Amino acid sequence: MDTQYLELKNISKDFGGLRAINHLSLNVGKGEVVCIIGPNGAGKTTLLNLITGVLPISSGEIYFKGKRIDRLPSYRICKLGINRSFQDVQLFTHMSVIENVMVGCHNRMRSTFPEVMFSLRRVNKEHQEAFERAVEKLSLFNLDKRIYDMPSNLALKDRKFLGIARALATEPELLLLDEPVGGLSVDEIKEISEKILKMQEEGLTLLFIEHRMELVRSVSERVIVLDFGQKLAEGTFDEVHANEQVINAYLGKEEE
Amino acid sequence: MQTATGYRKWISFFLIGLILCLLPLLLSQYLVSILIFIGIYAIVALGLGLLIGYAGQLSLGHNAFYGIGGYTSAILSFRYGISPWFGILSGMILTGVVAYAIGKPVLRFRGHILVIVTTAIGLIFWGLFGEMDFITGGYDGFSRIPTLSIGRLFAFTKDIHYYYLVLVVLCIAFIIARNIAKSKIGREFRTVDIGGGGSEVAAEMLGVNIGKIKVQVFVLSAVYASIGGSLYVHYLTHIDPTPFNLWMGFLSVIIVVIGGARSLWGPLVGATFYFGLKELISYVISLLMPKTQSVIVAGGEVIIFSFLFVIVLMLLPDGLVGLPRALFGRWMRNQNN
Repeated sequence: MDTQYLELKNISKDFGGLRAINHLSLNVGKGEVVCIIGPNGAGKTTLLNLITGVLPISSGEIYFKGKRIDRLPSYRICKLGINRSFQDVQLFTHMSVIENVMVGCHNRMRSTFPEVMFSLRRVNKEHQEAFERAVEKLSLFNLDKRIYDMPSNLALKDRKFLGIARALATEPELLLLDEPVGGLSVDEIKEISEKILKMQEEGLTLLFIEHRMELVRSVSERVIVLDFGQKLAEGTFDEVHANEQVINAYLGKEEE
Repeated sequence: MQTATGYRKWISFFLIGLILCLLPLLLSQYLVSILIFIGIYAIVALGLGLLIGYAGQLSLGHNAFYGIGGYTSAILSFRYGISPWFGILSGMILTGVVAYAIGKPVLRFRGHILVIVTTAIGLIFWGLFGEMDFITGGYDGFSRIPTLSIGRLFAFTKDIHYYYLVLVVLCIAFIIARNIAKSKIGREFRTVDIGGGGSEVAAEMLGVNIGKIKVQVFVLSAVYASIGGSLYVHYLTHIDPTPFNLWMGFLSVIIVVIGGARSLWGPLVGATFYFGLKELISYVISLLMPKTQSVIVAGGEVIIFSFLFVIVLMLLPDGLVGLPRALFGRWMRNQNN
């Protein structure tokens, strides 16, 4: 396994006087499913924002497949093969389900502005291909019967699925999920677990943030615990679950 | 195979096209000239509609681009004897370059920077049109601008001919706008419309270069305004700064919003509504106060259309194109219940 697939080297992030990420280093191997857990304010979402270029790092380096990415804007990071879902989903609420996912398919569309202006044959062909690819991604989440619905008409679970389908439409190699089961029921969590495992079987590398231990236990090969922007512990779910520091800082508080 | 809906659509287009072709044959020359102005303003509004309605970016200074197109074409054809068609093309290129130079640094920022900068640009260019009298003719402008022609074969000197020319240009402009709106580029425009439901963070994460897409739509809308400006001056064969003042920049936005910013038909409906209502008001005032008609109409236009703009924004956010749904949608829902 290529253990340096995603490599964070001593990264820090400051917001004014507040240090949100503090000299953090971690690696993700190709094909791994790694989960990041930690109390609120630990820096988990900030970490995802740094990897995906939503926020710039203050110091350190980030590499993906050996290429430095920390200075790149998000749209370039997307083209390198990294994509993500958002904790608050961030759907395009004025666009239908299918249109949301088709935006993710734009990566593969090569038609130029002049070709689009005059609706040349390549444009229509690419449009049709993008439509079919988008339907295929939606079918993974049983949303292919609702392609013309608006996101506001979907239940929370389906909105989260739509966010993931949209990210998958960019054909990423590394997918970052930010609390994919927040607010969902136990049965819905089981459904997402199965989807994540299927994605891994198909070769996707996954790094996700979660609070719900049912999901973390069922899918992750490795768990990293963050607290105050630093790595507190790292290991399998059972190893981390038994770690006293982790129990004091995070898990113990949950059980109360 | 065409579906019933497809056939209905084509029949509708055919009927509309037939009506538009026959209209000037049935109307007076004055009314045909009004239709020409509707067409020209609709072209300007169509480009602005893509900027405002699709990409959610607001510009109040499109009078600058309307004027750059008009003045470039007028100066090249009148002072240097260059073909007016080449003048129109030159106006489009120059306008595109100016819009790019403004848009590239400004559109990187979020918030209201574009509105402020474009308002300033609108004022600056209106001032330049008046002050650079060595080339623009100053506040009096100049006349005898060549009209458009097809070589020596045919000149668009009569209103009815110019109407058909503007109609063809408007149709091409509409088709291009429609192709863009339906395409990946149109979808990307909509992803950056934060007020309408877009998300720049999500868009960028999906590979959309949001800086580039905003500049693209801004330049495109400026080029549409330039075409309108060129058509305007070659129709009137006279140019001065008055039609390119800041009110034109505001009015273009008002036309888009009143018509319906999120529909490509909105700018056409808005332009028709503007001229239709203006003529109606002018007619009523001519009956009531014939001696002060022109003064009241000029000042009244600003008040009335600004007021209507606010009313439409508050009560009819989809504009006039959304009126049938707003009026009958509730009735139909009540019927179904």
